[in-house]
Amino acid sequence: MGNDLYNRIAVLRAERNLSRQDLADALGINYQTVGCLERGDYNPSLTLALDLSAYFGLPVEAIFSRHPLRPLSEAVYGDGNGEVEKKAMKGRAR
Amino acid sequence: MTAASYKVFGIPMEQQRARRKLVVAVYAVLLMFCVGSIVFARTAPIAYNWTIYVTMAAAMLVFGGVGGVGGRYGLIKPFPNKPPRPEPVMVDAIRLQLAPMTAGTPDESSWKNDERELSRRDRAHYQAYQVVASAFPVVLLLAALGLKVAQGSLQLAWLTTTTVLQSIFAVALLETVLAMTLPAAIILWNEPDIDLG
Repeated sequence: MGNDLYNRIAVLRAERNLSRQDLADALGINYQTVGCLERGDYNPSLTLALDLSAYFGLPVEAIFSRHPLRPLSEAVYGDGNGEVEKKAMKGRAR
Repeated sequence: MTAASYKVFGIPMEQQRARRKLVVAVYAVLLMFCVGSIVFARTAPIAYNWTIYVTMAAAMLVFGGVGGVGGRYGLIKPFPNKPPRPEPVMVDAIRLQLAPMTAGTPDESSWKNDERELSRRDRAHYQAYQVVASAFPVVLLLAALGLKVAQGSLQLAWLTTTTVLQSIFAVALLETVLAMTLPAAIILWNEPDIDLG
């Protein structure tokens, strides 16, 4: 298994209308680190992952995953019948 | 860090490409000085001192101090991850009834490395160590050669003790430059484009 870690930080931040600086200040990290996390260039420590989880009020597995994450709207409302959703499911099955 | 503070000679350094050009330019100049020390020192021995001064200045201004310690001017945060000393209280200014300089605490983001920056720093030191350590045998071989020439066990027309000593100086200077600046240079080289917003 590779070292890939996928996350929804960019989406969660955009939903809450936060800038990278806002999120960085709240977590006590550099805003460049937020960018690196969002791009998947850096895998956070367990402490930072839990801090993010607490900040967004979501379980860690809702933010991070070892597999590509489904779009949030699809994860919440999707029923698996949409074309995009079917393609994504096929991709994950491979 | 602000956009204004992320400039070298007025040139913005947010783009990775710009920073890489800077690193190449600085090392080209420093390498020139190391090699030049051999050439110029024949006629002007003071060139040895000047090469050291220029090297220190470049390390301080571009790469943030010797080994990244105490760097107030460099492009990256100081490595020790400790708050800088507070400004001294301006006693004389008060005595002269002038407004004293405020001894404000520097913004934490200007000196504190977060977990990504610490891991980046540690990796850069490891990579720099590989390079610096590989240059030590060269100094050792040159020193052994110099001893043989000095003792007369090796006699070549073109090889004098002075030539060997000058070579040792040049390699030692290069080694010193690398030891002082390479971790910072690696960080500048690898850090992606910075969005200062």
